[in-house]
Formats: sequence, structure tokens, C-alpha cells
Amino acid sequence: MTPVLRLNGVSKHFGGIHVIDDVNLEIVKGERHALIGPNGAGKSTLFNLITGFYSPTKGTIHFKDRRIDGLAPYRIIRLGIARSFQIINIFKDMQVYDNVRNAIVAKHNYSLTVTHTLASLNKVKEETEYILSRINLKPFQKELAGTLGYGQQRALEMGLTIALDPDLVLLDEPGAGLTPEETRDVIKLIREVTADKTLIIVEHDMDVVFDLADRISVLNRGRILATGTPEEIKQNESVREVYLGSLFEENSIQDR
Amino acid sequence: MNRSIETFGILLVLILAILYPLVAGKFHIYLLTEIMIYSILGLSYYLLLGHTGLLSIGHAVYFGIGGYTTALFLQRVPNLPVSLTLLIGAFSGLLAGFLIGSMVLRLTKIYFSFATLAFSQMVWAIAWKWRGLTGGDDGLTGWSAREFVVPFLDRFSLTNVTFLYYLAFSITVFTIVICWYFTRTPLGNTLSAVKSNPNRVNFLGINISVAKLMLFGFTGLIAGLSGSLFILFKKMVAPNFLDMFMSFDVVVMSVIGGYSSFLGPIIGSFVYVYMVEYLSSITDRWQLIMGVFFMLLILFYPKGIVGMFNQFSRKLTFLSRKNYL
Repeated sequence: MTPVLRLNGVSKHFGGIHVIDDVNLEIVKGERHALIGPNGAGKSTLFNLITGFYSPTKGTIHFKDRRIDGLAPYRIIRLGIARSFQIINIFKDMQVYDNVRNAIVAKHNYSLTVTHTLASLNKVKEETEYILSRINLKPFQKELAGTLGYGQQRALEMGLTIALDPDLVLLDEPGAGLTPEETRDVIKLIREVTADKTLIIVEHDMDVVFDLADRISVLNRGRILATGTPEEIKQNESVREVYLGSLFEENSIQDR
Repeated sequence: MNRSIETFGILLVLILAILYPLVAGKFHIYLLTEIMIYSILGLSYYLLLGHTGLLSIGHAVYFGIGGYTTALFLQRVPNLPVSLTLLIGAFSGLLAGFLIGSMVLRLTKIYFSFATLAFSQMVWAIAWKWRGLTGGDDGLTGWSAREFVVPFLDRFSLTNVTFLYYLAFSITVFTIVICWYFTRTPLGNTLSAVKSNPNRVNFLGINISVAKLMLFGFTGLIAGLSGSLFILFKKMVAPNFLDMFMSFDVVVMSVIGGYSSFLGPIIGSFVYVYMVEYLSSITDRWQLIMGVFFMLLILFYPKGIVGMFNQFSRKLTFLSRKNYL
């Protein structure tokens, strides 16, 4: 099977610090791939490299056989990659409805047009309402996004990502800071909306990861330690040594 | 309910503005014409600052370029209809917007602001030094004998104050409508999203640079149009039409009125022009009083006069809900 996303010897250095060091990774079409690793391992940096926020110091990134490293983020997103952020990144002083609508308008490539008013686009209206009901924020659509509760802002963050209807979804800790019930809802939602898509997810909750992922990659100090099925990862000696040993003391001082 | 009050208010203002020259003296017609032209300029500035959050401090450059272009065409092409020179002036503002925009828009924040100032000062230097084209510090003049032909109606002298009033009035109304429409298009919406969170707009797959460049072209067009109108009204053009003090005036008028609403620049230019007129008639040190007024306003009502009214009306609704009123 040809990979959807292929990272070849990707490195990112900030000065002398090798945040990402010679990462090779292939993501197969349709799989749910989890990226785990201690804090500071470089998971978010990897997302930033894939989506063009940084360009790699060395190495190449291919998406659907097209080289994407060095492209501007908006170009990469257009090719069919969308991401959510670890730190909530929504339009806080806009209404919830308008937040989602921004994404829908962008998806249809209307964002730079002036030949019609926004209100006259019925397709946009329908799809916005669909996404809102999907993320259970319909009752709050008139509220300013910044006034929502934390869990709801998380849901909106997800909504902005899936509204773009991408082929490859990157989710950066979608469950961060949520209660167990909220996390369960989010995971259910992720399963639903990524049914026919490819997913890369960064998550700290190991129950979630082992339950959701088809394959897992373990990142440590900017390097990929192992890639494999959840079973293989559980059995892997070096993973156990570096990471899983401390797993059950969530977020202990394991960082460097 | 609220909507019908709004519609009624707009209609009332329109009717009053149409009837105004019938009752007012020449001086006040003249002042109101000036206010309307500044309002057009202020509206284009609102789209930049209020709508998109771009603090340009060189906005008078498009106003001046529109003015100079129109003046040159009036002077050098005798048979060109005056209405066409207005369009050419507006178009030159559009070009200037694209040109300057393509250079300054790669910057953000304070660097962006100072780049806009730098480019406007460059154009000012050209207007000041290139005597052969711009007339240097004397500026350009000498077209007051020209007539403005309105199809199916009449020909009007450019010295006719009442005619200029109605010309400015119709262009102001047109500008308000087109700016209002602009804010309701997908592009207008994208720009307010850029103000809210540019990073996220980027990660929705939208090319922010193109969006901002289109805005720069559009505001250049509107500002150029107001500049063209302004030189018809003043019957001359000079380098101080596009210097940095003119740019600062635009900012000051917007802040006085309130730069977060459509009405702001209109109210702002009204208050500004009348205050300058009145204060300078009673004292030479009118700028001192203006300065104190401006400082007090931004201290207590940073959202300007419109913000002040909003605050009052919120208080009123609050009190009436609590049955105090």
C-alpha cells in the first residue's frame, strides 16, 4: 500500500537543539495513527513541520506523492490536511456559528470572493449547521466562542478541523484538560468523523491511544523509537524502558 | 423593533441631508461637503483599522494620489469629462493600494504601521520636489472654469457650492452602500476573521496575504475617490493633502467617532471639522483644546463617540429591565 504521508529523514534544529532528529515515518491511507512520547519529545513540532508552520532543516515530506515541505501552511491545508491545536486556537471574539462558517467557506474556496454576500450562500449555511450539530454546539451558536466552557471550546477546535473535510486529520491532544466523560465524547466523535479518513493523533491518555489507534509511533527526544501495532508497542523493550515504565505515573518528571 | 428604528433613523438622516442646502447658508453647506468627503476617506480607513485591525498611519497617501491624478488630468486633458477624471483618480488610488500593499503587507504590527508611514512620506517627497509634475509646494490649480456634466440633467460649474454638496452626498451614500456590501461578502468576513485570529485563518487554508492585498486595493480605491472629490471641492491640490499630518487626521477622526463601527468615521469627521472650525474662530491655540479633548475622550471612551452612546444605551436597557425607568 502506498503511504498517504511520507516523512524521509526529517530533522528540525533550533540553533544547536535537535528537536526533531532524522524522523522516517509512513502513514498508510485510512489508518488511525497515534503519536506518543513524553513531553518535549517533539510531537507538536512534527505536526508543525507537516503543516508547514516550520520547514524542516533536513529531509523531505510527501503528501499523496507531492512534496510539501517548505510550502506555506495555507497551501498544505488546501491539499487536504487539517489540524487541531494543543492550545485552543479558535476565533474567540466571533460567534460559534461564525467560527464554523469560516471553515466551511474556506473549504469551498469562497474566502476571497466578493461576488455575493455570505448570507446568500445556502450550501454554506446547511453545512455549518450540520457541523454544529455534529459537535453538539448548536444551542450555543449565537454565543461568542471565547465565552464557552473549556470542553465546548475543545469541541469547537475539533469542529474547525473536521469542517474542512480533509483527507488527513492531525489532532494535537484533542482530549487535553477534559473530564473523563468529555474525553469519551470526543473520542466517539473522532471515530465518527474520521471513519473514511486518515488520522494522526497526539494523545497522552494511553487507554484512549491503545483503544483508538491502528498503529502507534513512539517519539523520544526527537527520534522515532518504534512504530507498530498497539500489541507490538506494548511488547517493545526499548519503549518500555524509556516510556511505558513511567506511564502509570502520568506526566512524571521524565522529560530529558 | 430595533431594525425599524434603524431604518427610520437612516431615512430621516437622508431626507435631512437632501433638504439641508435649502435652509442652510453657504458656509454650512461648504462645511458639510467637507465632512462628507472626510467621511468617505474615514470609511475606507474603517475597513483597514476597525474591520481588519491594520493600523496604517499613511492612509492619506491614497487620498493625495487620487487628488493629484485627478488634478493632472483636469489640467492637461482639457476635453476629458470631469466625472471621468474622478474615476481615474479613484483608480489611481486602487493601483497605489496594490503597489504599496504588496510591499508593506509582509510586515505586521508596528513594523507594518511604520512602513505605511514611510511609503506615504516617499510619495509626499515626490509631490514636494518634482515641481515639473506636481507644482512642488505651490501644488496644482486652475480648473475652476470646468463644468461637470450630469447626463439628462444639466451642466454645473465647479464653483457651485450646492452642486458639490449633492455630488459629495451621492458619492458618500454610494460609498456607504458599497463598503457595507463589502463587509458582508466572504472576503469581508475573512478579513474580520484575520483580525480575530490570523494564525487560525492560515490553518483553514486561506491565503491571508491575498486577502489583505485585495483590501488594500479596495480601500485605496475609496480613499482615491475621496481625494479626487476633495480637490474639486478645494479647487487646488498641494503636498499637505498627503503628508503625515493628514494621515494623522484620518486616525484622529476615526478614533473620535469610534473605529469599531461604520458610523464612527462619519460622526468623527463631523465632530472634528466643526470643532476645528469653531475653536479656530475663537482662539489661535485651538490645537491645545483639541488635544485635551482628544486625550479625555480616549481616556474615558476609548471606543469613541459611538462607543460612548453604546455604553449609555446599554445602561438604559439595564435600568429599564430592572424597572428603574
